[in-house]
Amino acid sequence: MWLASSAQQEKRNTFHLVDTATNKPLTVSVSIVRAKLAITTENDGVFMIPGDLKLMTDTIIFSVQNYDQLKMSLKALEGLDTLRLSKAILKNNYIKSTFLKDTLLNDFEDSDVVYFAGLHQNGEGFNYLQLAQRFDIDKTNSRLDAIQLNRLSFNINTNHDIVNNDKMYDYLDIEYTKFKVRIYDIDPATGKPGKDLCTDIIEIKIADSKKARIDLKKYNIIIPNKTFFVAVEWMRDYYNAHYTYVFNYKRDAEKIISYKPAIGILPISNKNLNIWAMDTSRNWIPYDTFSPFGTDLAIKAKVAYN
Amino acid sequence: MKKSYQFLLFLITVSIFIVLPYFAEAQKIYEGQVLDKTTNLPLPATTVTLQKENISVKTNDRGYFKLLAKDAIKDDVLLFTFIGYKTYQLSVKDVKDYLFIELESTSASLNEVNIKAGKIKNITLEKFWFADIREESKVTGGIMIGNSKFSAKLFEAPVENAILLSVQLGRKYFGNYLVKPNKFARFILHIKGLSNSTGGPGETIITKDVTVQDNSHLITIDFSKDSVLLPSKFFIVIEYLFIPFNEMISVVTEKKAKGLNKKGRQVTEDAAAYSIAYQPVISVYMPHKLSPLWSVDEKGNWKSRQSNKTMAISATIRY
Repeated sequence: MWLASSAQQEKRNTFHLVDTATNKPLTVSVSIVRAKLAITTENDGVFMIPGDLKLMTDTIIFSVQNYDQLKMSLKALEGLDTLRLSKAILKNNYIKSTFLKDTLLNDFEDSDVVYFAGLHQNGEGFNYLQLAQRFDIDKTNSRLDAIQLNRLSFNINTNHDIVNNDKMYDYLDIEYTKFKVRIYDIDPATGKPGKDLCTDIIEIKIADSKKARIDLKKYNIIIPNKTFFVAVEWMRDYYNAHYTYVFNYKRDAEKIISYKPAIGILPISNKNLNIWAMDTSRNWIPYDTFSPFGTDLAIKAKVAYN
Repeated sequence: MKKSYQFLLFLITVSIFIVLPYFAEAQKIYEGQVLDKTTNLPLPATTVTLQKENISVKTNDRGYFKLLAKDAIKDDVLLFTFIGYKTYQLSVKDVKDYLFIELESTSASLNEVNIKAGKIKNITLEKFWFADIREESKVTGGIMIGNSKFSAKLFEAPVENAILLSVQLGRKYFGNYLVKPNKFARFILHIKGLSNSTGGPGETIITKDVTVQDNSHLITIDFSKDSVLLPSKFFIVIEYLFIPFNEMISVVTEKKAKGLNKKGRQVTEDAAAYSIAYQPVISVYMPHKLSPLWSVDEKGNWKSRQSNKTMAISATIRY
């Protein structure tokens, strides 16, 4: 995967990202902070940065779920070939319990979803690494059993009127996507998403569907507090890459690279903004692009409790 | 015993066949607007009832209603009732699309009133018909502005200093396989005079910020309380807001490079390419004459071009 490509002949700096213990390649989220660039490496853990690293002043961050984050200056990459990431020490929060009741949080009608986050941001590319929806419940130590999220899709593959139209064959198979789901506890100090509540990698692939219904019972995700977050983590790789046309200040259309999926936004104005975005510095900030009329993501959660 | 059981089964089967035609076909949505037949102004709080299913809703400020029939009964009837107006009935079999229902007042027409000095007239300039903005209209198109922030239409009143009562816009519901519809729209409506130097929109007379949060196809903006005196020639200008609230997404395809094949040639595959356009999508129709379409170019100057289509915008005035 390339980062910050240039048209000129430049030195290509190639790096391999591996697990410290096993030396196996890792699929890593790589972000360059000030440049607001981010990609996800393919399964081979390889990425490239063109140019003279000694002249670069930006910071690069490598992040994988369940691994300690690696942050360094671009200059410090000079002369390196392999970067190693170490597994974090994970706390086992396993609690086995029987739950008698359940409730559905943030329910919505599919037809209400007309806005989508993930295509662009004020005329630029969408540079956030994750978007998280906040959920509040009355009970502690409940279990997250399932979620449904809605995303932008035109259902072209399953619309037979289109499929049978010869002119529309070009539109088949363009809506597949994959992404990761992250579940976070609340950080009591900041109110933002905090530590992971699920150490399993939840990677979802969809072909054509507007919604993903994900059964989470097998992960036994216990929510210790009365607030939790469900996040979509983008896999910014070739598989998900597509284009968005945006208008520049001259009102010319520019084609920018975006990454699927675009996540639905509900057209409701809650008292509080419930959407958080992770930027390329891996900081959580409020996502207010659609505020005040879109304070929630199109994600609903089924929670079991006693 | 066996015969009794068989007879019972036969009875149940026959019963199902008899009853089945009256069962729910599928859910159906009835949607539209209720207007005063004389003034074409919306009638809010009109009761819209599905008689046999016995469900009803009331129209909102724009006269808009949406009724979900869960047990859509084939021979059901829609009733439209509002105090001071004759009840209107419509068989559901006759419902094709978005409805424009005109209710007739039970009192005499108040279009022309004799007062001290003379008659007051209400007329609609550049009036368009419901047929002009219907979905099935072959000439209905839409102006989805992504590259011009303003669109304007010129009006000519029969006199100077007529009072502006209302402005009507025909809005297209733009949704098909490749476009995600968005019923929400916010825009700025300007009434401007004529610039003698350019012949285009000049000084602003009044401005209103308009927000629509339903699927109204006919948007009426009330100016009756604003005491707006119009020059004989004036412009109605739509200022588009390129904001997330107004976004409508459509998709086309573009090629993305997959890599090189064994012969070293570039291999590509189709990728989604999304475009973002902005509400409101104003309907256009073909009037009987050519008319200028005004818009602002990239330098901020008004320019016009002759077209056989015109925007579905009308103005009701009183003089």
